[in-house]
Amino acid sequence: MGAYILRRLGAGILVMAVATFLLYLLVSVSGNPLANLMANPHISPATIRAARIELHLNEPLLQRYWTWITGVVHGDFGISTTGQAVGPQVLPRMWVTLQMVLPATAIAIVLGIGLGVMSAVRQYSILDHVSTALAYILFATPVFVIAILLKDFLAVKVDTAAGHPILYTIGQNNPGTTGAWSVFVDALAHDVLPVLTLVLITYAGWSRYQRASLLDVQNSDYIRLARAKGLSRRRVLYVHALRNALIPVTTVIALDFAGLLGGALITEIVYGWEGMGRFFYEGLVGPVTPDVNVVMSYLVVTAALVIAFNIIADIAYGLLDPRIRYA
Amino acid sequence: MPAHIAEKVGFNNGFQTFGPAVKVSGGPYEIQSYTKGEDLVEVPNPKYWGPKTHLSKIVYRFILDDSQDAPAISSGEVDIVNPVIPSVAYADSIKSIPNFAASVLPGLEFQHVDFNESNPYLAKLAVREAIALGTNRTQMIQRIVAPIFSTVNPADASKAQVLNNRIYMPIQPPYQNTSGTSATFDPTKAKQLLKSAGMTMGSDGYMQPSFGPLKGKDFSLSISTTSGVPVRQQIEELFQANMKAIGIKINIQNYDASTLFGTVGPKGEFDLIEFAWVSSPFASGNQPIYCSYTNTSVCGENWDHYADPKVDSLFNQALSDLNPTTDASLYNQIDGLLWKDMATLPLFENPVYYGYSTKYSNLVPNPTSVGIPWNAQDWALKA
Amino acid sequence: MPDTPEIAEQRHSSRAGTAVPPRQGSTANGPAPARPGIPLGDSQARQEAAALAAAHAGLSIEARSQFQMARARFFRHKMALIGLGTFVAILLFSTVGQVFWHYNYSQITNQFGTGPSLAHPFGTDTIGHDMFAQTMAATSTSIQTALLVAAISTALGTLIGAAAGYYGKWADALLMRFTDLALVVPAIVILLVLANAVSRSAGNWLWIALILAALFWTYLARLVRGVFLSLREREFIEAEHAIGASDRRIILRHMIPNAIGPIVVNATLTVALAILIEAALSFLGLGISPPQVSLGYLIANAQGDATVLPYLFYFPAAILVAIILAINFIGDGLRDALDPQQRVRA
Repeated sequence: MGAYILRRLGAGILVMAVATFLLYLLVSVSGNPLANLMANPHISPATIRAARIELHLNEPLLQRYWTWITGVVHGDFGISTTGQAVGPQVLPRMWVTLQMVLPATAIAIVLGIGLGVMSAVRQYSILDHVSTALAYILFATPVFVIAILLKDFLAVKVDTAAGHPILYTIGQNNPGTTGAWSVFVDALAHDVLPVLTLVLITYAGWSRYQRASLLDVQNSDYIRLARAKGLSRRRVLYVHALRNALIPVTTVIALDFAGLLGGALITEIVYGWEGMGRFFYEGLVGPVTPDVNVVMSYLVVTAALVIAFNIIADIAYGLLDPRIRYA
Repeated sequence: MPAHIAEKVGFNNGFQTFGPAVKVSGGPYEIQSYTKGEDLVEVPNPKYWGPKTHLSKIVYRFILDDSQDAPAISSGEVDIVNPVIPSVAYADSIKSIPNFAASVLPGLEFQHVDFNESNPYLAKLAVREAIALGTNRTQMIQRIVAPIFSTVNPADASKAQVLNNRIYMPIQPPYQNTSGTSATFDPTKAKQLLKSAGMTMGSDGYMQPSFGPLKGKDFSLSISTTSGVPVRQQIEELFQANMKAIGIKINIQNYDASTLFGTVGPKGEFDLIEFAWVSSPFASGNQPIYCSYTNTSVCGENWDHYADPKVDSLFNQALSDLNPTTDASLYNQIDGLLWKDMATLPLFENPVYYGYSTKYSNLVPNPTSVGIPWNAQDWALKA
Repeated sequence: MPDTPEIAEQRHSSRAGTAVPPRQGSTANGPAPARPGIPLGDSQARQEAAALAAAHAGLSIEARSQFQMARARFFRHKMALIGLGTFVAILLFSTVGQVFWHYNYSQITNQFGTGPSLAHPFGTDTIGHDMFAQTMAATSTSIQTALLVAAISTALGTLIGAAAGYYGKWADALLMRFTDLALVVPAIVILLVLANAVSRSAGNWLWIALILAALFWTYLARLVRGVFLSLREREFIEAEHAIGASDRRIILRHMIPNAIGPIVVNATLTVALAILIEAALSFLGLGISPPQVSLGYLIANAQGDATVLPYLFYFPAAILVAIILAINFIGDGLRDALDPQQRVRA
């Protein structure tokens, strides 16, 4: 098992190296961060030259990439075009993004698997039909439309009825709140809508897949045999069928995780959270573009997360499926 | 900068980010925390010498997208808003929120269209004049600006006017309408001017030049502005429709801000360009825009290949003139010449929009760069 | 039996911001791994027996081709037919409708900021565009972009996936590592970087389509590779090798027809995914740029108006959701029709 993990990590690092190289190239050629300075006639050529050197733009592209990657390996993510170090900003922003992603993933897994199992067990019941219809509609709706609808129909209505904000639509907290309990409640109030948005676009696919997988297993021979032997339906379901039905869903969830992070990016922007996603977006699109080091920091962190999550899923897969033994 | 702090954090780099070590304030509030590009928190300054402030905390949030403002106000998260370029939809969405007022004031920023005179067609005065006469600026005001004023008070719609001076804004005393007849909307005359410049109306409704690279083909020009700004997009689309009516085909070709102002503009890679200038009380700042492009050291902001020696000499006169009255008349003469040369086409002033909660007292909008917090020490929650 | 990880990769989430390839088993039925159709040899004997029996009874049996059987199965799927009908209706609305409607999408009319009326069924926006015309233009742009994305990515993905799956070894390893790149970072992130690099002055639908296709082909390639890997070991392929058939013949005449089911379904779902992702890109300011309009652009522009001028938001949003639903149902029907080995609804 340990050797398997190491192999996967190695492969993952290799993929990350290539991916970062390609993306570094793409981001670097997509604009000139000095454009704003150059456009201002009051700024002397000497200042522009100094800025160019500070941003390493006088070096060839490959050398810049090398500087960057060697820096990253040492934990130094470089300087952003605003002059601030990128590294120290990554951790707090990562924490903000995780405040949305972790609860959303957990809830979506529980909801997805739970609803999937229930739909499969009560196939063609009202519950099944309703959750099927809901899943289809959620598949077909872009994430920002869901966010807008939630804001206008849930948050505004609840908050106006209450007279003061309960569900927040902007930011991940009220800056300047003090006191551990207040901070926690404040964060929770800000969490509800974004997490709900992410859950809504994520759980449906997993529940459909879980339903299909469990139906498939329930129709298989060994389950029929277990029932024929006289085991109760409940025992057959929870002890035998479910464990096998969870296996394909695990892979689905693992592979979907990257997509969930992508959805989190859009959700962060819509709700104004100060997380990694918005960091990336502002670095790519913001006033001074492109901010290569900022964009690349996001890519590194995201890729690392995806690879880590995939390894965890593989371990879970190995635990669930006794036929899989990692050499 | 305070020496005792500079010693601790380093003079060169220590002040680039905000941190507890660089917390310095001489005013009623001090900065508690600052996350670049995201938010800034102010709390009362305990060492302030003046009267105590009424609010315990002011939070400034930088919201990326204006459309996020309305739900945030409705839910009570945000009490004051100040969009960079308000759109009609924005003003409408705020209008219906209870306990929330809005104020729209004329500002110092104005939108305009520039002509690149290195384009062989725009080099002809008649063509530029035709474009000016064919632009229905009143229609632009009516659809883009006036409704914003109306959201505060329907009678205010008339406060939105076309701009007829590039150097002074209507709220500045020296303002004069120096445009003469160059800018009154007259599409018939515009078409005649185009014909006099050597164009004939084609069967598809577009003019066809008898000279130059587009000879025998539809007369088309491109217009560029910053992408992603709805108001500018709207200006372009109305402009496009106006030009179609006089036989000019307009292609909209937008760029992001750093490309537009970094390469496209300075290198003259455009036919028509639309953006905003910010006026200031110091009219001399206009010289680099309108003096002859051949003078590269001074006139770096003249991207239009425009040159008029009379304008240059008037600028030189005005710059050395310390008398405000004669100064103003010189600048107005310059502007009159700019109209005659049709160097650029001013459109309208950007309104400055403030929305603020009526739960607080003493919120007084301020259209200058200081903004509404100019009297933050007087803000208080109404009983 | 549960699927292996390889084959279980083939599914989708047709929503914006996901990196997952188009889904296979998304309906009431079991997960549909990419198993090929039954080779004709097995059923030959059965057909002969049936023909004999029918002749006995004085009837004759008409043989149906695989395509005819698939078509019959498709038409039995109610939701798929509704989906097809809806999609065709929307397609006609957006293409033919524009020809007959008296307003053009870029035309400025006399009214601005007005709600739905007889003259302007979808109202007008704040500067005077007729929203009915704009919605039609936006729909056609979105659909044509998505169709192009599906076409290019399917062609490219099938080609490369087939080569990898058939020839195996290093071709396969290369493809797998390359597609790993596409999976390790969220799709929307790669697309944003690409869209930004292509320069926002070229935000017309062709470039957006190319960018999306450049990412989507990787999902289909993995799918096709999986199918080909499992097909490669089948006896009838071995037989073809034995009689000396060329690689090209084997791939074109035997393997691809058997993989056609998942390919077609995947292509259909790619259309839906492309529309959603283009909408996300437009929302973030990097999609189809004005003066062209797409559904994503209209919705993104109207988000602030959702409460004040709701018609600006809800009409394009409703049409977007309707198209995606329709395509998803069609995809389900196609999957049922083309993959005869997947389980019957129990």
